[in-house]
Amino acid sequence: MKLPGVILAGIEATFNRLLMEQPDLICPALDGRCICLNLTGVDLALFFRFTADHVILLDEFEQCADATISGTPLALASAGSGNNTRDLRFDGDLQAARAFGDLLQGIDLDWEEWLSRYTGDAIAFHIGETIRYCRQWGGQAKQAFAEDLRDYLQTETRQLPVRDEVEQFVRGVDELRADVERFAMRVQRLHHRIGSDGL
Amino acid sequence: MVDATDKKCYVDFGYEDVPYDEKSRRVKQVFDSVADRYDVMNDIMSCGLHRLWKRFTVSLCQLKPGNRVLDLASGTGDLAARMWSAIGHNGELVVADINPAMLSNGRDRLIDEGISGNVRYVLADAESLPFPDRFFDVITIGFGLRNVTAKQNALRSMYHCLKPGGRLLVLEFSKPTVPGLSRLYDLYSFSVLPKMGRTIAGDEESYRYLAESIRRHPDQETLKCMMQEAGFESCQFYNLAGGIVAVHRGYRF
Repeated sequence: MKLPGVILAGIEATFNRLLMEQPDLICPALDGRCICLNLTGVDLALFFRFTADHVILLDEFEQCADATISGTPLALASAGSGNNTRDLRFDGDLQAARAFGDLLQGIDLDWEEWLSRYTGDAIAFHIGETIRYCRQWGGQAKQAFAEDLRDYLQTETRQLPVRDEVEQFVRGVDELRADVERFAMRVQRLHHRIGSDGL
Repeated sequence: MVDATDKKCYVDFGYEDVPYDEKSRRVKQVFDSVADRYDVMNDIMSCGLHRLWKRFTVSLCQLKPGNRVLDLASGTGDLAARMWSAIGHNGELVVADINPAMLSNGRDRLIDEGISGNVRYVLADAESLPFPDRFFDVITIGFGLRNVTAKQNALRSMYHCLKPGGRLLVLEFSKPTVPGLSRLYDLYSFSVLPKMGRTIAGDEESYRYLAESIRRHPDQETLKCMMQEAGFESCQFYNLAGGIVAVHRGYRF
């Protein structure tokens, strides 16, 4: 799959605008390097070629990328938000790949400041406040919904067990598994003894 | 492909094949004829879209204050005007065209818009640019490459004038990529466009040449290969308006 050129150019322009505001994000480890971001599942490869002061975004690269980071979009998003990188695969120059990861995590999008250039400070502040309020309300609503659903399924309809019951059950299964394994080992030892004593 | 050594060969001028030396003369005639109505015709022909295409091209230039930029085949200076505001007073803008009438119109327009001081005007042929090696940060050529006789020579010449890290942006008509658009586009180009040229600019032949020269111009992939052959790296093209227009970008590293 290839992204339309206009979208590619838009991503590149956004990236470069952010880098212009935070120029120290491009570290020497990235200068002149090309990092391939390979999105598995959607079969999309994006090449980030770094110069001293900006990045060039390509959908094809005539040479071999210095480092390749492969993963599903979800795995990349999870890694981008600072969570685990277990589902990602790194090939090539790991130092460059790490520098690229640091760059992605270091980008601080001050969208309110960006918006204020077009709308003025007052409007941008009000839009920011509204969005912050919506986000807070959304978080609270999500948490309340999760708690209500849990109460309904666990307490009222009793279709799901409560956490303590599950943990007790899991502990019981673990103990049973350990007992079975111990018992199997004991039986095996007895078999060996019977075999060696010739009984 | 036409090379500097093949000056006795025939080259395309629209759908005609003309002797190598004659093409530039006939292109000059076309632009002498349309120079005064060039901007109006551009607006009408593209429904104003050419302004967006040029804005997009400049956004791909990654211009910084202090950059030295060359706008080739500058015409009435649309790209030059947009770039000037990005490079600031510490930058340097060189506006070049092979056609004196177009260059003169462009200079008048830029001066009228208050664009002066760090701007130079050069009557130059893109095939042999009169600038030192590694001189410019950015070179642009908007709707001009298809009129150049030896495109490969011009690309090489541009490559040499770029600094390492410098980039060339080619904004040019190309091949439609959206299914069904080609037929509609042909109908517009060969039936509507020449009539518009006759009515507005009083010149039907020049606008017939425009339509024909677009069809003879290399498509997206071919132009990209030509740029790579000239030495450019990280070449990429961006289709606009369903591929009717494409912006090619290549870097010298």
